[in-house]
Parts: sequence; structure tokens; C-alpha cells
Amino acid sequence: MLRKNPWLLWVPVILAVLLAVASFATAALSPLQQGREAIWIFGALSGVLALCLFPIQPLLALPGLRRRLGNWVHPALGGTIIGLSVAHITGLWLYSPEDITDALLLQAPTPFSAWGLSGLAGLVGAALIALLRRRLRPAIRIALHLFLAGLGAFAAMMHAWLILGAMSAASKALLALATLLSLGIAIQAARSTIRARRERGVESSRRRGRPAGPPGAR
Amino acid sequence: MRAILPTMIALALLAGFEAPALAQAQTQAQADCPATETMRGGRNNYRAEVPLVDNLGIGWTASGTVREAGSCAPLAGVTVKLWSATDRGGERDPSNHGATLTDAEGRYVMPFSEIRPMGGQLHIHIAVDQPEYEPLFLRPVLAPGDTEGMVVDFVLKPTGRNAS
Repeated sequence: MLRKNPWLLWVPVILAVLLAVASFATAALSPLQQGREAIWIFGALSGVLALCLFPIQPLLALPGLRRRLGNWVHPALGGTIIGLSVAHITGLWLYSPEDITDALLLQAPTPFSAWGLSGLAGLVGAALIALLRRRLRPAIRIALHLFLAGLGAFAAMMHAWLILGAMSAASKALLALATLLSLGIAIQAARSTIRARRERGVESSRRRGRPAGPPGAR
Repeated sequence: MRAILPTMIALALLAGFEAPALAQAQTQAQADCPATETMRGGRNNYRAEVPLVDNLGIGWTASGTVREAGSCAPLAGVTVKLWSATDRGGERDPSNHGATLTDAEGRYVMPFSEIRPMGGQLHIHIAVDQPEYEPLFLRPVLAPGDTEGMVVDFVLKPTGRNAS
């Protein structure tokens, strides 16, 4: 289906972008923003924006989109998400240093602080694995990258879900569902990429110096 | 099967004897009035110098009774400092900080305007930090039903010192 209609690849991307714009707009226009100081709004909305980008990010790693958009787009958005998470912590720290210091030291009374930290740890881990490009076998690198990114996204979603703030419960639920679907698509694509490499024997012959197994072996 | 009935009877008897003992322990605890403990994050965004105010807005009310540890006696004239994020801004906003005194029955009342979430939770801060008592910093979180206000009673431990 995709081979015949390559434009179908853009459908999930466009849906994810529309969801991101709608979710960010509802949070930014929430009545709760009235009366908040600029640095508080900046810190809070940085986190919201990072979350809104989650469903888009896995799709940008699909081989078909990489070819059309360029290989740099997926790493660039990954860097942006981590940058926004750091801006989220920094902005809120500038507004209420004691609250954020408690959170960073795992001393906060709020249950979602540790989820937020684990989320960032997962995402940074995923980025580090991606940076180790040449040191790891592709199958292991892709699996680890997806595992850490998925774990990080799950923790960040739990963080957001438990917070009472500018985001609506509906937009949090939709973003979580969309992220799950995107990750599912990316995992499927990664599996067929790895399988194709094995069948071509690229991996086995280069890494182990012996011929590849029978075609179709996993 | 035969063992079940005697076991149940024994358990029922035990429960019967345990219940009054438990109730007695609870009454004892109430009579002792143990000092309330400071909560995590209770001191965050604290301001030492706050004015005595009639209210911090209208529409929502924090109130409660302040008692002395041990004796359980209501404490009059205690300065209770309160702050919270409201529709005027966050906890850093000076207009969201104020203090009130407890009356002869140890009661304090502080009307607020709409409480807003800050740091992801709807909560207020309550502090007592005068020389006569061990400092206490509370951070009660509003329950879903607390739309009109909330009651926060607490117990202070005297230091034996007097106000200078």
C-alpha cells in the first residue's frame, strides 16, 4: 500500500502535528495562565511543548520520511525535546527554586516529580545511544534506543498525567495514545529494517566475519 | 473444614477484645495531642515579614484550631502565616502572603480568593514561627471536595521561651 501511495506516509505525521498544535494551544490559552509570571509560563509551556512533540518524533525516524526530509530531522527534534525539558526545569527553578530543588533531590511532596526525572533520564539515555552510532551493532543500538525512548516517554506521560495544571486531561490522554501509536509504527519499521539487513547479510559478515544465516532467520 | 469454625470464633473474640483497646489507644493519643509535624516542602516560598491581614481575597476559606501539644489547650494569639498561588499570581507574589491571629478558642480564619495550582497541585502553605513554639510549616493539598475552603487543625510544641 505504501509503495503505491507514498504520500500515505505523511498522514500520521500531519495528524501528529495537528494534535501537537491543538494541545499546545489549549494549554497556552488556559485561563490558569492569567496572573502567572512570564518565567513560570515559559517553564510550564516548555514542558507542554516537549510532550506535544512526542507523537511526531518516532515517525521522523521512518526510512521513507528520512529519505524525503533528511536524516538530520529526527536527531534535531530529539535534541529539541531534551532542550525543552531542560528549559522546563530551568524556567520553573527560576520561578520557585525551593520546589524544583526538592524535586531534583527526590525530596518533593509531589508524586509526579520522580516521574519527570525518570522521563528525562530515559530520553537522555536514548539520545546517548544514538550518539554511540559506530560503537554498537545496529540491531542492538536501535532496540536500546527505542526501549529507552519508550520508557522515557512513558515516564514523562505519567508525570504530565498526575499534574494539575494548564493541560486538559483529554489532550494528555490523546497525546499518550498518539505517542503509543507512533512508537508502534516506529518499532514495526525498525524490525523490518533489521530483518532486511540480516537477510542481506550485512551485519553478520561485517561483524563476525562469517556468512549470514539462512534467509528469513531472525 | 472442622477447624474453620473454631478459628473464626477465636478471631471474633480476639477482635472483640482488641476493639476497646484500640479505641482506648486512640483516645489516649487525642488526649496527648502530639505535635503536628512539618510537611515536605512546607517552607517553600516562605516570607518572614508578612502583614496581618483580614483576608487574601474572598471566595475560599482556610480555617482551623491551633492547640498545645500535651495539654491540648487551644492557643490564643498565635500568628498563623498563610500563602498560596491564587488568581493574582504564584506563591512568590507578596499579595498572596498574609498572617492572622488565633482567637480565644484557638481558631484562625483566612479568606482567600480562588486557589490556583502551583507546581502541579492545589495546595496552601501554613507557617507558625514564633519563639514560643517549635517552628511548623504545613503544605496541605486540597481534596476534590474542598471548593469552598478547607479546615487545617494543628498542634504546636511549646519551646518554653517567651517572645522577645
